[in-house]
Amino acid sequence: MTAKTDYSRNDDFFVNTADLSARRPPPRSKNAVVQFLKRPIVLVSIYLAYVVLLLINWDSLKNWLVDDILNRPAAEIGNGIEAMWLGFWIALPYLIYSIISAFAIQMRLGIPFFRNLDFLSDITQVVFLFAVVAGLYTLALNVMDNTQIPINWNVVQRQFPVEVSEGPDFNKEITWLKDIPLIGNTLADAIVLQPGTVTRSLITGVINTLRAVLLALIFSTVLGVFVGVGLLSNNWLVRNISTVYVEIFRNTPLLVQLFFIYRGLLGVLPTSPRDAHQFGDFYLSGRGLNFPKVLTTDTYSYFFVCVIAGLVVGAFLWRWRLKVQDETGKPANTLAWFSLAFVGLGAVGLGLAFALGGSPFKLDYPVLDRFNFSGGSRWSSGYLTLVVGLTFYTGAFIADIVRAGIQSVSYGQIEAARAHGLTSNQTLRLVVLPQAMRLIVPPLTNQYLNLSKNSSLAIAIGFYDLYNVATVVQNQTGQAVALFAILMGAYLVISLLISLLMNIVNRSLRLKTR
Amino acid sequence: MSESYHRPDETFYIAPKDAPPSRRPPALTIGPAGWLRKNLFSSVGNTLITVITVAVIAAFFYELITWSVAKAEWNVVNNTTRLMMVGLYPVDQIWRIELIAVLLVFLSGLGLGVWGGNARGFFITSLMIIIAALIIPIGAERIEAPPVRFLITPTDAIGPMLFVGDQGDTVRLAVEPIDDNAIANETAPFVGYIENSPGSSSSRALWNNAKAQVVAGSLDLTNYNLQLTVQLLDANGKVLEEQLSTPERRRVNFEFELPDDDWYYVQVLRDETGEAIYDTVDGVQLPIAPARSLPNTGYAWVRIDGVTTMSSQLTDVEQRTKKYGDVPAVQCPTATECRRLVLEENVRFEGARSFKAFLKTQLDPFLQEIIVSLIVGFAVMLTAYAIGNFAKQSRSPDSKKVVSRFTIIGWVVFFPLSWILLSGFEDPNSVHPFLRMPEVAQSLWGGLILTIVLTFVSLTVAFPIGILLALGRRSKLPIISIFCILFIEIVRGVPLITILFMAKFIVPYFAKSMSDTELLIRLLVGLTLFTAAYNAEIIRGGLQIIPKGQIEASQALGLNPFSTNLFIVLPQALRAVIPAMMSQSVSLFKDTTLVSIVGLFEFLGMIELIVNGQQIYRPYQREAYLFVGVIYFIISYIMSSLSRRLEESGAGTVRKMRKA
Repeated sequence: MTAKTDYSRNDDFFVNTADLSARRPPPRSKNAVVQFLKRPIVLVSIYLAYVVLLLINWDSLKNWLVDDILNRPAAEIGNGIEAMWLGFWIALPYLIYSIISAFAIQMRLGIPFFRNLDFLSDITQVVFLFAVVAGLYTLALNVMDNTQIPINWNVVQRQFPVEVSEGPDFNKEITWLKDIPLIGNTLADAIVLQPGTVTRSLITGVINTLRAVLLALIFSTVLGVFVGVGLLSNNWLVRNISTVYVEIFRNTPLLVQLFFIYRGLLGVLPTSPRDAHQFGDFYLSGRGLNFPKVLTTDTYSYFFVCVIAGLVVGAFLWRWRLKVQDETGKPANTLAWFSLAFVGLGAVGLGLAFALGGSPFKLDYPVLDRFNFSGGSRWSSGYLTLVVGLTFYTGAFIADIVRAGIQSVSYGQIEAARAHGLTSNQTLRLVVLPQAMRLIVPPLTNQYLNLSKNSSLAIAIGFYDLYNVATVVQNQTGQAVALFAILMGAYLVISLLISLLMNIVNRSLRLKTR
Repeated sequence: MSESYHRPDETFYIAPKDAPPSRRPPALTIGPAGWLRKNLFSSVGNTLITVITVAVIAAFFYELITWSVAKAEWNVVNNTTRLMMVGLYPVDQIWRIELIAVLLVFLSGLGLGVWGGNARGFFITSLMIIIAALIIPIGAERIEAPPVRFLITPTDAIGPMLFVGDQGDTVRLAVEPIDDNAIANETAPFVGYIENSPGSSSSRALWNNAKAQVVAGSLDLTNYNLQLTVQLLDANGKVLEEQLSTPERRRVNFEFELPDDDWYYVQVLRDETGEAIYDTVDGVQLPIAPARSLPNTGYAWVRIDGVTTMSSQLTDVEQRTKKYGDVPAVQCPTATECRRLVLEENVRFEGARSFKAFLKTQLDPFLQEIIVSLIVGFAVMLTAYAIGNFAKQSRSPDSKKVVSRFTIIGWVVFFPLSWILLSGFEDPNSVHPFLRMPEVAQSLWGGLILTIVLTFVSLTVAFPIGILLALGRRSKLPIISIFCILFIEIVRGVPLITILFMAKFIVPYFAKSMSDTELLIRLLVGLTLFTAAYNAEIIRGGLQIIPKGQIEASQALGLNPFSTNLFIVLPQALRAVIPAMMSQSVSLFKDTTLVSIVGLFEFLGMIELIVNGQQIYRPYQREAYLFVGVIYFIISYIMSSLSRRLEESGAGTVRKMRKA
């Protein structure tokens, strides 16, 4: 009983039992089973298993629970009561556990439960858990009740009302699907051979989104780096123009920019292909940009194999040169050796292809027919707008990031590099950029993520990206919940992919300390 | 004098008799020339870059200025300023928005006067511009609805067109035959729109190649023959008024008072019995030219004044139906007659315009609109500033305290007050007669005022939620922190537009009582949750930089976790994240444009509605979107440079203890 007097003299009203347990560890139970069960991971797993089982069997359980305990038929109680009931059953074991442990501590250390900080936080969590489960489940039940059209997850198998005019030609381009063993044919059946299904349209939407995002990502990075360097230029004019560009594009909404490009710039061009502005073999009209398409011929494989071989040999040479530099101190000239191998083998491949049957590539030029262009590639005005708009908008943000990154490298570093006799090129490549990159990459990742999310604005300019397709399906079928879940999932996956790739880049750039 | 110092026996330094060569730096390294050389022409490459850049910029600005002065049709902005600023808010209730704007100006001026520090000049400029944008409705109220014009061409007359009118309204119809290019050009800056027959839903007015040619003066219009009958019909198709236009009776005007709140038609019929123009040559009447000799060949404007101009919004149509009855079925002579009104050609006005004409027809109307608002705004602002500054500099410390307290209370009261002012009372008779403000449905809110409402409301509501989420994410209680992490990451991982999509389509299902929630409220919920998730991450960044010593010290002083957070951690963390929160506000301000995609007509949405929905404005998209871009740029540039200033002034760091 001395323990009680000890802690009642404590200055704190609340007692953190973890500290006390550290000072006076609880007696170890001799029973191996009890010891096993008392490990936190086991407790949490058992609890999670209970929750999962409860959720899976809730439909059958609720009849029993409600009928027998509340003495009312399950169908009659409202959604709110049912959700609170579920919340209660989920929170119950935690509640019992916290009461038991608080009781045990009160017995052992004499701390009353209302001063036991662990117990109080446990109770907070129990209440929070109850409230969250009850609230969310009520909402879910209400949504299921109130939707006029019942939620149907098979909506993806329905017919898609409009043909997506843009995107990959599945029948031509995805024939390789059939070559996948076992599931290939099923996949092909599901996607390729059922034109006009929602699945296929959604996949087209995803591909369209990725097409736009990827291109805009590359362009905006290039633009951003150039303007970022321009922001630090010692030429007053260049510096200020870069600043003006960055400020203008950062401070106007992307949607306004997209509308201006789509309606103000492309919209006033002649819509008829006949009146299209011609730049060489490029035709720009209100409908989009037509340009020559690069096609492969039969001899393409020779060239392709040689280029791959060039890459591999070049990589080997690169490592070899680095090793030589480490051992002898001679300049590595890695890039020169690499390009020698790459270009050399590429030329060999080209020669081989020509010798064996002609050029490995041919150009398919757009030709004006009676009403439209045939042949060549076409970027619709929506796609063009999206890529250009995203490029300029994100480019402005990237420029500022690049500027901040380069500015963060202290001038002493550059001076030291010069003192070592490095050329300005080497200083930039070996001293400034590696340090700047470390600061550039994390915010750059954020910008890439923003870019991928901003691509959903395509709906405003009539480009069939994922969001636009989903909206059309939602309008036709009324399946808002299902489509919303699919949309969220797809965008989360794209975001995660970008973060993953950029994390890999980031890790490779990290300061390596020994 | 120097001679006396000259002693040959001593080795003195003797200044040479001639003045030494100048030690001044070379002329090319100082002054403007030096600046130019250093900053623009320091090396060959630099010179090259400068020359190329100057050429590009000069070409760009030359194009831009010639276009905006000589070709651009800024009337699209002038005529729709009210719509852009306050949306479809009833004209007779706009005084409420004016009151809000005046209050805002007054409070800002007061705050500046009392607390204005270093950033005073900056604050004043920025607020002035915001205010100028805000109070434009004060002037815009006086703008009449633009007249509606239709072109009659040799091949096209206009079929029956619908409009609504109230009892006692005067509708003025005018037929203005175009008999020479001067008239064609004189009437060039026309804008206006009218609701069309339901058979041709997307068209508001006639707009085609022929008109463009007329406007550009490329048609020979010296001779014409046109006989038109303009009819005004009531909803049942009964002819109320009819006027005949002939070459002899040019510019026929007639006024007509509408007998009832109802739908009306206007219809133009070509009088097939009209005779051709003949010229008398040697006593023999000959047709002037074969092509022109045909009867009823010619061009004319039909101009309609004083009708209610409308938009194609669905809610609008519903409200109109409620007030004026069902839309009558239009009796089109043929299907093509109705369809003919739907024209898809986009033709820009390409006529040349002098600078004087630009000032007179483009700039002056706009300035006339905003001049009153600007003067009122300046006056109120200066008065408030003077009061605040007087209180600050007065000797008694009480007066400053009183004024600053008043300002704080004013800001706190301002937001709910403006919401009440904007929305009015559901039952105006139940309140004091002085406050009798009829309810304005939220579907009528729009324009810039809606953008500002969206930004302010979601910022203020998201702030406490963001703090809670940030604290929850750092909490040691696993369930709470997992919930907060999931919420924040999911919201940040998806585009805002999906969240708005959810808010629009799924929130109504959340509860029966929510099913007829206003779209504005639903989208506000979405915007708020989105902002809260981003705010939470910013605040978490602030929480992370609080040194652990602070928390330990507060624990040592006996503060419990709640008090530690409230009195020690949060004040420092929040001060540290002010600049980041400011740039988040800028980004929210820009993101409000997205609500236009899900059907709310804020600033951009309103412009889109006007420019894209109204056939007659369609050629002027460039002007409209440039104007929108400039307004957005001004406001968000001010906000973002404010955040930069705050960051430089040290608000971004944890302030050091004053008594170290």
